[in-house]
Amino acid sequence: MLELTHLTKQYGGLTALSDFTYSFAPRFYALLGENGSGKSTLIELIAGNLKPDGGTIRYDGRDTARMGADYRSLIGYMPQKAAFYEQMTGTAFLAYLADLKGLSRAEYRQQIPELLETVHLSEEAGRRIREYSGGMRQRLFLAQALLGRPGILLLDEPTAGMDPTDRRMIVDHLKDRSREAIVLFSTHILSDIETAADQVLFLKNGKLVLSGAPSALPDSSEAAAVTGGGHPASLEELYRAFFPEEKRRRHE
Amino acid sequence: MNEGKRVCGNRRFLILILALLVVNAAFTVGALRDHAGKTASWSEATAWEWLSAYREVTADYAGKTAAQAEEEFSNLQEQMLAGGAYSLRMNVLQNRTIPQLRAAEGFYDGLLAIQEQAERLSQISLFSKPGTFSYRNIIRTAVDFAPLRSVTPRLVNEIPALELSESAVPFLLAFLACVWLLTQVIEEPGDPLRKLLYQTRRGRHRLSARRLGLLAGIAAGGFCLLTAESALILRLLAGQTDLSAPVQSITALQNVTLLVSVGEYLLLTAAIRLAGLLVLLLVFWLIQAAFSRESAGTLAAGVFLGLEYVLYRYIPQTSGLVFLKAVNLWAPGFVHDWLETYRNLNVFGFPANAFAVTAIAAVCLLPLLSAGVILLDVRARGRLRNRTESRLLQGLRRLRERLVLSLKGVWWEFYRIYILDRRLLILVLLFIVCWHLFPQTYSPSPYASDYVEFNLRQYSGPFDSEEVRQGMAREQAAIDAEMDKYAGLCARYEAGEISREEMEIADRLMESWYRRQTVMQQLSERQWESEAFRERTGKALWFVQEDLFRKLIGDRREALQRVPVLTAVLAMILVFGHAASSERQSGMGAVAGATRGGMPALRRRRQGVMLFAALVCWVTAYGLSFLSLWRMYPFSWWEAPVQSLTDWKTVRPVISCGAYLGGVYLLRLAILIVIGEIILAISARSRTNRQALLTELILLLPLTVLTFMV
Repeated sequence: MLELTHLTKQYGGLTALSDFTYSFAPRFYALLGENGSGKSTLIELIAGNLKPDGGTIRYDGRDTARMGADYRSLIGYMPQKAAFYEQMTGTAFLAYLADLKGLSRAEYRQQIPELLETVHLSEEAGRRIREYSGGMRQRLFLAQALLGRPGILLLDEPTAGMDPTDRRMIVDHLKDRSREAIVLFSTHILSDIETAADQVLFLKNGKLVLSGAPSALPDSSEAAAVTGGGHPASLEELYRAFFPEEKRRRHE
Repeated sequence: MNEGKRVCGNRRFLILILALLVVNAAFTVGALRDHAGKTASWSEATAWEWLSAYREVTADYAGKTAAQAEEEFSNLQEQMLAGGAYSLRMNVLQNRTIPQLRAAEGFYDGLLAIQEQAERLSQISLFSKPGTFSYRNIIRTAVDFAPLRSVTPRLVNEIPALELSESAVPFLLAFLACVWLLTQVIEEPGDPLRKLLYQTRRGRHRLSARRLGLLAGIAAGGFCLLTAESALILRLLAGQTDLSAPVQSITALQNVTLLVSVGEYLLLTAAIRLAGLLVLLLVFWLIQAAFSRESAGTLAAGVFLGLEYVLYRYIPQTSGLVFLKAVNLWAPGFVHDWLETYRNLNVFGFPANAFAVTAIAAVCLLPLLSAGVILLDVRARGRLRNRTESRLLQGLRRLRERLVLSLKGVWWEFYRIYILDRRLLILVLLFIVCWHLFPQTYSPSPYASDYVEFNLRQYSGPFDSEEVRQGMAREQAAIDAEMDKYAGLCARYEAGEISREEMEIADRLMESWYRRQTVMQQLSERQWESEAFRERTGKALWFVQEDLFRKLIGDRREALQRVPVLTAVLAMILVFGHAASSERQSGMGAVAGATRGGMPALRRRRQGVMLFAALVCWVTAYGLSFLSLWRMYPFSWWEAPVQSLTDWKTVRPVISCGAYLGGVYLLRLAILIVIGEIILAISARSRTNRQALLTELILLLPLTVLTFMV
């Protein structure tokens, strides 16, 4: 169980995340919000790459700041911007990160081919990353997050740039993983998470404004309040009602 | 124009040119030093002035002039034995003037011998059958050498022209650079661009021809630039060769059968090398373009040309397979081999001059290969795509993947930085540059022998040893005897018994004895100091050669102290100056930071990479400079107290020379490691690799220079 209590992060005078409190258990969580709503900040705080200005993060009752490597070994992290050593091959890149994650040679020799198969890159694994297309890079980057079967998967827009078939395949795989791991999936693409997500978290201006199961959320009283009385027909409608700016941006 | 801009208009191209100029300069200076090892005066461009006294003498009088030079040399030798030094004049006479004059004297004898041999051999039944190769070869040799009787060799400063004509370094460097450029010229990333290019109005033929022209232009420009640089360095360091003199004036080129001047000869060798360079590049292009994958094509072309090179180097000039050597693709690059040694090849029973075969083959191949390249380039890449190529590549990939999957810990950083980022090449380059900066083939320099050196050969060791005491006593007795003799001469001069001229000769002779007396006084002082030192520490000082220590760890302004540290720091910046910044630049820092080991693990690994680089730079730069100087100034008194060295007599702890020098070198390693830490710190705070490298270069290099200047 991952418990976030009154988590706050500021950049100068700007509050990126404000008083965020939530408990995560092994499930599929979708994180929704417009640009600058604090999604990436929340993920980076959980990943340990940022230090909170207030609040705590606890895993199974222990302060993650004190757990050090024990906590980091639970994390599978995929930042929004894919990063590679371009001259490495796909296999080398995964092996490099597997080594940094502390996996034994036997473990990563077993896991790397499996993961490459999962993200449909087995054929291309021996090619250098600089020769990969955008979608292939994104899949490889996701594979590195899955290395070591992490207990907490932090995925910041993992399906951006992928075609619908790949997106479906990846989401299905993550749904499987969510049976034993916390999957926190930040996205703009509602169709990806509508059926897969167990819980949806709406972030706005650094605050958690709404959360619940995707099927139940449109019928909730909070949803009715946002749309001005009537219940939205779908999660998509609720999303549009929440983020009209996002709607206009997308339309443009 | 667009192709030219695409290839030449990037920063890497400029960096490549700068790197080539630096490497070429290092090779040229190194080669000159190796050559001057015999004369030990390469840095004295004034050597040529010493030759000028004999310059006007033509070959007709060469023998007589050589005798004059030999007489002068023996006079100087006598003066040296009487206590003088081995002077530059002696050096030049011994190693340049006399051999050159003797060679000029023997030039006509050599021509006559060829003629006589031709007549003699044609009378021996084995060679006298007309229509055979042997017969034709004898006649051809005599005919080729006959015009040389009209040549009058001159006494010239032959080193600059000889070095320039024999150096294949500009050719080889231009070839390597052009191969890299070639891969840029024919790069067409992805199929869509290829399709687009096919459909352009001007079509592929124009494009291919333009690319060919571009490559030829760059190759010619690069080769000329490097050759001009070598010529300039040779001009500055070794003086100038009289370019209008017949080429046979240079001793090593007396067998050149062309009636050309030195200048024309240099132009001819440069032109043939350039043709050879273009031929090699076109062959590389042809092979490269024939494969479906660039990497496979590059590998195949590299292997083929590598084998050709091995064949060229290892077929002896006297072998029956010499024809294969003459038509080898690398032969034009080493055209001096074929000009300096006269040789005819058996071409269907007819003698063909090996040089002519090489030159004609290179010139004829050029248009053929150019047409071949254009024809192949306009077609789709990969005409030879087949299963063999795929299987070979797959095998290599599997091997690489197996290697990669067996890596662990710090070896990953080694793999990433040294192999993937190719920084191992910088360490190899550092070794090559240092090898040439600090030549390893010094013969003990006679020029360095002063009076102390002369004494060191006779006795050295602790000042209180019997051997040193007796040696010094003998020396003092000899000096005293000469002083007494001189006092007697002075008395006789005052009495009018000897003339003023005789007294002046005695004065000149006495100067060397005064010098010996001064050195003896210094040694006596050291002997006194040794006794005081023994009373204080229980150990005696030694009489040792001091030059090695002075050069190695003495005056910090010495070039041999500045150069190793500068090359080491520069190499370290280039090797791992980007190690940490590359994470920021690529964005990998966030991913790596969230792993089990996190950034601390990565930092530890980088320390390993840095320590390895520092160690290699230390061994290479300092080790080679030490070896170089140690061969120049042999030192074997490692157990002597370091206080035996005049400049180190105030050192507090009683420590041997070996331990002291070892300590200083370990300290230097520690300083390199500290500099390595600074480089890593700067790198970790930089956003991009470029920013990191620039900051490191701007901060560290001037600081290093300043430290060794003040």
